[in-house]
Amino acid sequence: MPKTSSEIIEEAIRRPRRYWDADGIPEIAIGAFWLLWGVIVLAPLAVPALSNWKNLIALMGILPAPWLMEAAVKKWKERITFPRTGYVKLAPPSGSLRLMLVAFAAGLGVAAMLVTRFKTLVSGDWMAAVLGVVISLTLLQLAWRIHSMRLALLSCAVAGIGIAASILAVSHDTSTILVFFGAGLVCVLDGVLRMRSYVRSHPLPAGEQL
Amino acid sequence: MNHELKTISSVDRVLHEPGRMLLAALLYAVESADFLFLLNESGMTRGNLSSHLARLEEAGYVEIVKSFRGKIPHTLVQLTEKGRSAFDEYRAQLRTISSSLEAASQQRP
Repeated sequence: MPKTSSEIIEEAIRRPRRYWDADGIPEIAIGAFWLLWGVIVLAPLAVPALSNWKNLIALMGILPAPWLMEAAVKKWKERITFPRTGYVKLAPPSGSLRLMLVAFAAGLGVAAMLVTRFKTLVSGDWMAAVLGVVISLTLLQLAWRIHSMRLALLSCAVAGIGIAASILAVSHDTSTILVFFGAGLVCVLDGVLRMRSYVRSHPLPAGEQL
Repeated sequence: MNHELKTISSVDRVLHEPGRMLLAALLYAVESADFLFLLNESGMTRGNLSSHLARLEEAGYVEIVKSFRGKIPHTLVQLTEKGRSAFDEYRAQLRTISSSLEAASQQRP
């Protein structure tokens, strides 16, 4: 069935958001964030002396992460994407969308809190699956916002890693680390492959220099 | 003149041109975008894009800021408030027309 003019317009309005995801940089940043979580969980296990400081380490690592991620994405885009296919500054999210994102983040926070609180009730084996699903939901909301099937598949892969870690039935800490590193590596790998194909298909225009 | 016909005749002529409609739609979701981005996304030629942007600027729908990035000229385009509300109205008019046409085609025996 041919698209109506309204559908074509809506599709065009979504294009700049998709463009933001075209170079793989956001996935690399998201992957790095999950890898950071993995390192934060792993550090006190690998270095027992740090175990007394694990909450402080988590706080110090996680709090500046969103700002660092944003700055890194901006820097990389200025270096890689904008000289090739143009500069875009996305509009800040509308009030209702911002509210929805806050509600979503709060929902995830409550889910994480419940999981932590009832971890003695939930079989330890399923903790990794729950964590994988929670992480995959963050990717799924991004996939929904930009209508990206690829990100939706990526979120399924992350949920799959969580379920696989549960089935492997290793210790709670090990399965948590497996999920964070698995999710992080999948995102980073996908981002790197996407960036490679983007750079290959969009050479620098004449006169532009990195 | 009934309401549907009025809607059709009052459609914004500046935006009711495929090229300019696409440019307005691309600029609608962003705070600003440069010439290169619009060129890539619209698939227009440079001359065509320039003339459509000039027409949109003339109508007060976009603001164009020209500067230099090093030695390379850099053109930044932004939808103005006037352009944004005109585009909102245009989208609403298109939806009205689409639904009227759909209703009319369903009524036909």
